[in-house]
Amino acid sequence: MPSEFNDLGRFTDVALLILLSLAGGEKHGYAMMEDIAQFSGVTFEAGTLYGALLRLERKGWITALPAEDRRHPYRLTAEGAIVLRQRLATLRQIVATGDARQALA
Amino acid sequence: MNNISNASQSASQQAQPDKPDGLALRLARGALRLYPAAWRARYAEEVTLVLRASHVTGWTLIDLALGALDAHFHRELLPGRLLSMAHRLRTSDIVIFCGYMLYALAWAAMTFVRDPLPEWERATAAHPTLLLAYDTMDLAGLVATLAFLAGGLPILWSVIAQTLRRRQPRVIFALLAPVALVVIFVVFALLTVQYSTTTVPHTQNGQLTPLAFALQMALLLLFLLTFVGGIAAMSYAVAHSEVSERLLRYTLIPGAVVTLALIFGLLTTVALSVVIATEAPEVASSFGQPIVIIMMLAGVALAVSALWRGLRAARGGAGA
Repeated sequence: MPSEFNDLGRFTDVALLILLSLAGGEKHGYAMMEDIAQFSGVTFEAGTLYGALLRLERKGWITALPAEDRRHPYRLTAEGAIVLRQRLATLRQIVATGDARQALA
Repeated sequence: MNNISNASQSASQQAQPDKPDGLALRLARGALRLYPAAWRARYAEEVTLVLRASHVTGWTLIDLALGALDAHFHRELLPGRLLSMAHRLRTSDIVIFCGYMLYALAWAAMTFVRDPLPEWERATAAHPTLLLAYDTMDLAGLVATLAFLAGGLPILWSVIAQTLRRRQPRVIFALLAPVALVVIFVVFALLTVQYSTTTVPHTQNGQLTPLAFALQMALLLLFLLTFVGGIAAMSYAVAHSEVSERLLRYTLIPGAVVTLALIFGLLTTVALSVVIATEAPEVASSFGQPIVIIMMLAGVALAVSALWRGLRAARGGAGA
């Protein structure tokens, strides 16, 4: 599964932030950008956001809901939630390894 | 998490999606025209609303231009093509699979034309065309089977690999179901063979005992369940997996060979039936030709229509 995540190429990091944002509830594009900026301080442009959304939809990790006021809210799928959990576990492992090695240095 | 969500939703509500278009926004909307039509149909309106709510800068324009390039380079990801290409090709493969399986069942039933063997051998010795028609039908079935394996095995491998990677419970169940059904069928057949062939003593035509008859009927029902359930489960597994467009395009070649072989096999079976009816009617009584031919015809019709749809999808996709 992690390798599938890495298949996203330059959208890997943005995709993780999107999944994290949607883990907090359904959102449309602009709400996601605002949310991500708020919890991570990371900002990105619409072209990058929709490049990542396209890939996440294609992988079935998120799904677009019927449009509300011409905007489609997006929802994290069950498979997306599994991928997110696995990705976060990998990141936690990296952080733990980093902490341990830093302590030795 | 909920707090974050609420905060972001309130932030988005504060945005002004209907503010007048400035120069930067007009340029950004112009940049959206660089995207492929399928992308624009799905996302352009949504992105325009995001742009209106955001602060458009030079970097926004560069990002949109890069996004347009990316969308052109990865056309296989675009929503329209998902439905019109991969989805339609995959459906075409599944229907060809169903058509082949139906035909294969009829083809297997055709082997009973040789029962009883001495009678068949006498008929073929007297009418060599009978043997020629039978062997040609067999050859067509063999070619169809080899082509079916050439197209089906790579897809099966792709589905299994993906299922193991993603651990999709329903697809795993669908892949295991045909194996489980075959095992159940074989075990049942082995356990009951002793009782399902018992005949009533002192009868001339070997009449089955009630228990033997019931067991044979149960075996037939179990066979039908295995056959239909196995096809349905495999179709479900393929339909709920992502198979690459490249592989799906490749499978059109073996799919075409399967379809042509099935057509040829059907024609030779009809020819065989005609030869039997006109030259060796004593053989005709031993098997149900009309049902077999109807099953083959249905299999061929499924395969031909699916291949036609698959070829149209591939042509349409290439031109999109």
